[in-house]
Amino acid sequence: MTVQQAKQLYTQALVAVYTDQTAPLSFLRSFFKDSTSDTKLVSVEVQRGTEKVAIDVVRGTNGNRNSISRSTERIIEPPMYDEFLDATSLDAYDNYFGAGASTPTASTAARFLNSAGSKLALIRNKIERAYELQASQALFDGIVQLKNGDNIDYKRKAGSLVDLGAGSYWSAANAATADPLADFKNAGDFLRNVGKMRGGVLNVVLGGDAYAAMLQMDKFKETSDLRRIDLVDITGPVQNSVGGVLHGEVSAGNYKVRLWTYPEVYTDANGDQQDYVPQNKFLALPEMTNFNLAYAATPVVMDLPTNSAFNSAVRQKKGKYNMYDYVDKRKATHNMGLRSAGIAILTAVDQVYTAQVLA
Amino acid sequence: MAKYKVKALTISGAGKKVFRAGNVVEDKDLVPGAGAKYVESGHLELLKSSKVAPVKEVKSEAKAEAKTETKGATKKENILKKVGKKK
Repeated sequence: MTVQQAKQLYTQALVAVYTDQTAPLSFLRSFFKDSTSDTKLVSVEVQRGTEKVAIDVVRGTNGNRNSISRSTERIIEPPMYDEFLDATSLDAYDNYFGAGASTPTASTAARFLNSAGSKLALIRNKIERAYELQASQALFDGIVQLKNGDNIDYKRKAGSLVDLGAGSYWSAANAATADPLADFKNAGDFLRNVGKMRGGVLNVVLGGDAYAAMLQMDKFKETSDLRRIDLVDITGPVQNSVGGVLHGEVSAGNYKVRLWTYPEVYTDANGDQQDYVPQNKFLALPEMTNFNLAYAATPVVMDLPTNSAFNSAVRQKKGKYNMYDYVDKRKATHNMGLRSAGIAILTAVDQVYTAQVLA
Repeated sequence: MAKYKVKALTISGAGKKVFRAGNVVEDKDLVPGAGAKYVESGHLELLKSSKVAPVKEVKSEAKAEAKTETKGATKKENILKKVGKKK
């Protein structure tokens, strides 16, 4: 310890520590139900339903024969994320394992575990952002884009990926004619008629610019100003625990529409900040969604001390996140990391509607 | 080669490409055979094959001459007008 350090022990106190460790929010993922499996592949099985009406028959004749169409199964190999850090770069590592610390104590162990744990949490946050981005891409584009694997295209219908077009955008030029409530009604009609949605409540997630533009449209303002007919109930924004900001409810045709925004961003590979919810679009979902965030198993190296042929082998381990560590003897590093293999699946692929409302 | 305009917000192309509303794509940008399917499903709009720009009509001399004729004048008067002589 230097003299300067010794002096600081008596003259200086550390009163607070702030680490810029932003925990990722999960508003878009909250529409997906988590499931884990102990296999490398995951699949969803979808059977289309109909809304046909029974037709009466004459007594004494044959009834109407019903044939049930086969279901379709989609098998997906989820992308795997594998992020690790070099634990030897942590100060606490030398404190625990380094020279002069040959007898690790409980306090040095706790310090090391605390330090490594917080760094692994950073890694986990990074992977969680990848899942949030998957959810965003599935909901807004219908295509999950991967860097090293093939893109996963859920083949959404054109009717659920609508560009309103320059003549109907919620722009200043169209302020007198654009009708956001009619656009929400169209979304509800698609979800009801094509997506076979049950219930009359929609969750609509708008980009920030789209929300601001909606409030400026004449027809929306006129509907809001109606006396004794309360079709628009917008109040101050209220943020929920997963980051969604609720602005209120409006009526659109037969549907009650909950209006949300999600002002959450991520940093892309170029270092630029990007929105999870595009500024110029809105997304409409039924109140009860049928989407899955499916986690497949990830590989782990297992030691086989009793196996005479092999010392170790690779097995698939179930779990959302599987931690591993190993010592690289050539590089002399102690690496710790997390593996996770999840995929955001639009199980009920027609129960999502996206529209571009601004250029 | 057929050209298409993307009508849906996004479509998948060949080689991991993703095209967005308003993009113009050709068959080579898509998985083989996908163009027709996308048109049928409403994701793409088939653009009419680019036409050669129409050749501008060149007025024939006779027509040009006809324009210089004065209405109501006799044929002889018009001929004299063209040659710059008074009657």
